[in-house]
Amino acid sequence: MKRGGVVHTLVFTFCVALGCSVLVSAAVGWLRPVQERYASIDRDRRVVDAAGLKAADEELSDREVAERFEQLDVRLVDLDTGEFVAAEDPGDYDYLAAAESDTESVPIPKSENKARIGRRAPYMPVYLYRAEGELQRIVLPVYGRGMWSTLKGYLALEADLETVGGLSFYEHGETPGIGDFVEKPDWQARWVGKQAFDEEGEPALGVAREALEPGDPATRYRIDAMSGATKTARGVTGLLQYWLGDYGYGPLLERLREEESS
Amino acid sequence: MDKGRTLVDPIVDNNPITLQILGICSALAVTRTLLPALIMSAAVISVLAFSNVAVSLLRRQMPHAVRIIIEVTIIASGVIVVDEFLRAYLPDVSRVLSVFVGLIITNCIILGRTETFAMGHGPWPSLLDGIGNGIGYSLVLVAVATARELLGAGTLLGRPFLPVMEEGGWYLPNELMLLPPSAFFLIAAIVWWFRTLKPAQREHTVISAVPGRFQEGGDG
Amino acid sequence: MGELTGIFLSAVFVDNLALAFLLGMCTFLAVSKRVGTAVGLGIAVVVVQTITVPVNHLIFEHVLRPGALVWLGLEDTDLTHLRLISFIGVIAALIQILEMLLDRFVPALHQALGIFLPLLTVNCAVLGASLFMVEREYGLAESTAYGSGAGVGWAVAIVLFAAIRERLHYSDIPEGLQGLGLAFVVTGLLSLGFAGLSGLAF
Repeated sequence: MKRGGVVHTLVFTFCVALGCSVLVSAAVGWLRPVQERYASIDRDRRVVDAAGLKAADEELSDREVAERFEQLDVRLVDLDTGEFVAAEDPGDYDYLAAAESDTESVPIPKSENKARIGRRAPYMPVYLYRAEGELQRIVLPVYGRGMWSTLKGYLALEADLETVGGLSFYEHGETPGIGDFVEKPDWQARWVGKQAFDEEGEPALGVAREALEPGDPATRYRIDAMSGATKTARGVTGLLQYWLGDYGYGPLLERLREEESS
Repeated sequence: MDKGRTLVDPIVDNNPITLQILGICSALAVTRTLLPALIMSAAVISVLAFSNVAVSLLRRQMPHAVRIIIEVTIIASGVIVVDEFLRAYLPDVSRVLSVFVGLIITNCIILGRTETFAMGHGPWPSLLDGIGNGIGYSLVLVAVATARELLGAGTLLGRPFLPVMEEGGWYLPNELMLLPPSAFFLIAAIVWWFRTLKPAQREHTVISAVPGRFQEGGDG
Repeated sequence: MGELTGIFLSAVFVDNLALAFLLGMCTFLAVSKRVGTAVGLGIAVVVVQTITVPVNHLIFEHVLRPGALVWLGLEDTDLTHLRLISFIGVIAALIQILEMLLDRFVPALHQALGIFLPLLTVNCAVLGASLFMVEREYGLAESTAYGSGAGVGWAVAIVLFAAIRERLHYSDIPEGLQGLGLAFVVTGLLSLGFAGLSGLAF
């Protein structure tokens, strides 16, 4: 087989391709489970944080995360009805994949598509924290389009299902230095205590369009505008309005409120 | 070539960034803070070492016509493995590095070295060359990142270093350092410094002004 | 303003691959000594980007993405880890074809571009555009708008840069800074200038 010959070239190329594929596949096969395990611990960690089960500067080990996570009641919600559905591992439900899948996803009407996600999963996992039998907090996964990327986070509501317990974003691809305020703890802290719904029960939570005066009634529902990061901020408002609305967790929250009052 | 020189040359004398003009893209973009720069450096050194050795081992059998794509394939495999490794064990940093780890494949240094060195030398010298160039690249990266994080945020590796005004200190962070152009200015300073030390690296592009040559309204 | 036009204009000005993301710098710094070559290379980049980004989108959507291979009965296969090599494969193939076409139909341009056309195979900006397209989850039309915008943006940047470099031949510059050092400073300033556009929302 000549060195420069066509056969040699083909055989060589094939061997290299094969060798590289084996190497890559072996590495991926070995590493995927590690990645998934980390992803799942990370996710539980974020939920524990959002549920208020850890102090602000506490660093939890993986085992502590698992322990505290046990205190949460994880349920899968049917967004249309607001009812819980039985599921084996509600926390592992991949709602993002379901939202992308042609067979499972549910389309969102254009006028309601405030989070600019287009389609959604039929179910979403929610995390309920109960103490002494009473609901203390509920953690709702939320996501939507910012300027460049999908913002993914958790919205926590207090027992009255109206006051914000916290809002955090764990993943985004916004402009570093400008749009990445969504991941900063001091920005996230500003949401605590805001009211999610107005007097008519409509979703009112969001980022204001301009700076708010201290006495302005809108400060009940809105935090101050961000200079220079309008599109990201609009994305945050959009996704909050969506998930608090009728096509998001609205039905669930209504049902829970009725149950509490009865 | 003396093994010691193979390793040490690319650090200053033949630095991939400041002399060979290679590897600049990802260098600039990941230097806002020190940690991604360190991880990126480690990733590039690993891939450089791996591909230089792999290509060197295959060099006698490599058909000339397809050698570039074969080299790219080998480099790509190395990068994929490193990328997956980072995602598994350092997921937070991996997210910061996002597309740039993948772009290591197109990092001109790696293809440049496999093509110009590994194709003509044995595996051991190729390994040293790979590591040496990797270190040269890392040197510039770490220098730029240190300056940018320190001056731009007052921190290093996320830990406060200079007392920042926001926290009651005296240092007002230079926000220019947080923007990409600052990397260019810093590298220009490094290049200038290297070439002041080593006159052999200087270029001469300026056309000396000869009195009377350029009249008003003429070429200019 | 139409969403596609918005994506295109953002890619050219706000999200400029060369001056905002600093991609494709090696070729950028090496091919910018004369305006003529810069223009030729710029055109080549526009062509390559406009074709490869949508093609890579199709490959990602219908072959690599988890669930993409459902038509083969393989619903759970996730081949995303192969995106890097398959994107480069597409880029390399396209550039090879482009080279052959140019050689046949526009030999003057092919001659002028010389080695720089094949060098585009490893241009970070070309691969970067495809990777950003995946990250931002663009559809087919959006990918085309983005690809052409990204190419045009890069081309505009390199031509601007070459023009400035040509003028700098008549300036008094310290020896250690001449050539590469100055090129970095100028690119930094251009990048700052474009950063001023970053507040624009299309």
